[in-house]
Amino acid sequence: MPANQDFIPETKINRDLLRPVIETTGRFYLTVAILGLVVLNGLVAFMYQMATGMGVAGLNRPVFWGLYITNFVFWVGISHAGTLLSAILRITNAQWRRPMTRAAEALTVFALMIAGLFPLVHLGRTWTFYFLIPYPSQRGIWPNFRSPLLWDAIAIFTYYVGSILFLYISMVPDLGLARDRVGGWRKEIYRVLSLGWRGTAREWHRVKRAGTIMAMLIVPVFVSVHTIVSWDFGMTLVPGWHSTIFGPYFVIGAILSGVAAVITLMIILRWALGLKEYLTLTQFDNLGKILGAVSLAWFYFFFAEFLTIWYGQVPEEMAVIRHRTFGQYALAFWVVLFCNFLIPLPALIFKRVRTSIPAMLVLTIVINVGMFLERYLIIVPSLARQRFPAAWGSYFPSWVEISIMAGAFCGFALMYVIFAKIFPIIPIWEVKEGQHIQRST
Amino acid sequence: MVTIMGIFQQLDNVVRTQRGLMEAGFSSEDLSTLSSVPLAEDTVLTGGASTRLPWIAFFGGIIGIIIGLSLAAGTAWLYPLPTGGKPVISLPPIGIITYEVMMLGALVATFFGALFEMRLPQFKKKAFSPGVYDGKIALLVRCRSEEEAEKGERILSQADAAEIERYPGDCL
Repeated sequence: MPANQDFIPETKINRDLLRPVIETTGRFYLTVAILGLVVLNGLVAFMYQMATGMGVAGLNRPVFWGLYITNFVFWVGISHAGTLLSAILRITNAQWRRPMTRAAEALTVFALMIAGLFPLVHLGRTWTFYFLIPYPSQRGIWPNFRSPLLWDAIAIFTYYVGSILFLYISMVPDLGLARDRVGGWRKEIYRVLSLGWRGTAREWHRVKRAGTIMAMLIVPVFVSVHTIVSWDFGMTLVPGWHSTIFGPYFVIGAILSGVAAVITLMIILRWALGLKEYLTLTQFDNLGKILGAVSLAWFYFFFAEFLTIWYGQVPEEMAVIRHRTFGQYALAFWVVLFCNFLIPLPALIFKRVRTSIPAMLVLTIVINVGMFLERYLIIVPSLARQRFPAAWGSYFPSWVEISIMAGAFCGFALMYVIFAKIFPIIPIWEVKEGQHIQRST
Repeated sequence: MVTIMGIFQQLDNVVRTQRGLMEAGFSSEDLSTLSSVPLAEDTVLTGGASTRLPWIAFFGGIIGIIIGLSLAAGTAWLYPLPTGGKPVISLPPIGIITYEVMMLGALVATFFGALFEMRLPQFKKKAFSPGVYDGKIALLVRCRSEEEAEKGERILSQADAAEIERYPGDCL
């Protein structure tokens, strides 16, 4: 929506927002080539791990969960704010949400795809992944639903399917537009995907109603998914993990990293696709306020968790705390505190920062560096300092793990770039509807 | 049966013409619009505004509960794994799995229910004008006889519709 309240003609909105779909620049091919190479490197590392065995990863007794599981938790967290933001802003009818909902929803879908890869990589014998699928096999064996790991698989599957359907149903009207404006082989794709959409009164009524119902359904799913991810840790008796606060603490961390990722992506899209007229400073200002509030909430949970353990002085728990705060991981611990709270909160108080695109880019990247390290600090030091001191150890990721992680990051970017190339990344009909509402009020 | 389509530039004109058509004896069920955005429901006819979507979501959730219970409790019962004296059919995991599958059922049902109520997918060529995407509004009138079609075309023409086209069959 235009910031200056001047209405953009619908023909111009169509032209501007379909341009990235219709025109392909050399920059697109270069980006795809670079990202593709890093993904290829990650695939080679993964093949090497499968052929050689899990020994090529840095995982060893007692730290059997390392970078792969850190990535899994991080990407599940990143995925969360996309659909959540879109759903909550739809339910509350926040008009400023309109240009950013699809970018946020697509973030959820691709981040969940990347998150889902890591447990498979971590399996080692990836080809046995189908043991997780509940189907009547010849052996008569069913998955053990009492295991939190299986709760995870079911919850993430629900969130993934829900997010794809939520993204798709609101995209159908724009696919109809693309069908009528694009030629060549892509016309056929849009024809099939738009399902014959024409924009009848009945179609609009149902698409809006379905969007509202799905938004209301997906918010509790969001909360449950990251709570269940936290229970992968909380249901064990490992010091540093066995905590009742882990559910909400993980959820708030997911919102912090996810909102930061949405802002980072919007800044990149705004620059790369020339969308300054649509992704305005209003969106960044409002998202900055949300980010500041979530940063504060994150610190509240972080502090509550630490203070309780500190006052308890249970020796096993204190061994983990000391290892994190003053031991081998002290630097990472203080970086986390600065990245997630001490830098962003004071900065985001100022409107000048919230409406500065370079400042928001730096801040949101800093927050996600902090959130990645936070996930690492939750997982590794706890395993390295378990109850039996003679079995204490340490962990450092190998080149294979780092290559697979780099491949995953670039794989996410690659899928997102291709999505933004094939589909209108700004919801065209929602932008137009926003203008109609503004005009009528 | 035929469908008449008139293209208009202004929403006010569409609303006035809809009223005129209803005064001339056309039922609200026989009128619809094509637009690039959802039009306010109090200004135009929404083509059957009552929807069963909330109920479809509800029954999707019920089916999800049944599947979730079958997965979590039914499979534990089919292949008992006694562990440390703990119950084979344990309530907390059953609750969690059932909840997730219930939500999945409700989400999937809402999606397919919406498609069903929108009568999509529909790949047969129907009354449509690409100009709709540039802000024009098309008014569709379903006519059951030649006399009705002529009356409809006359009303659309008097209302200054930019284009008037006739399509065979029901195109609403």
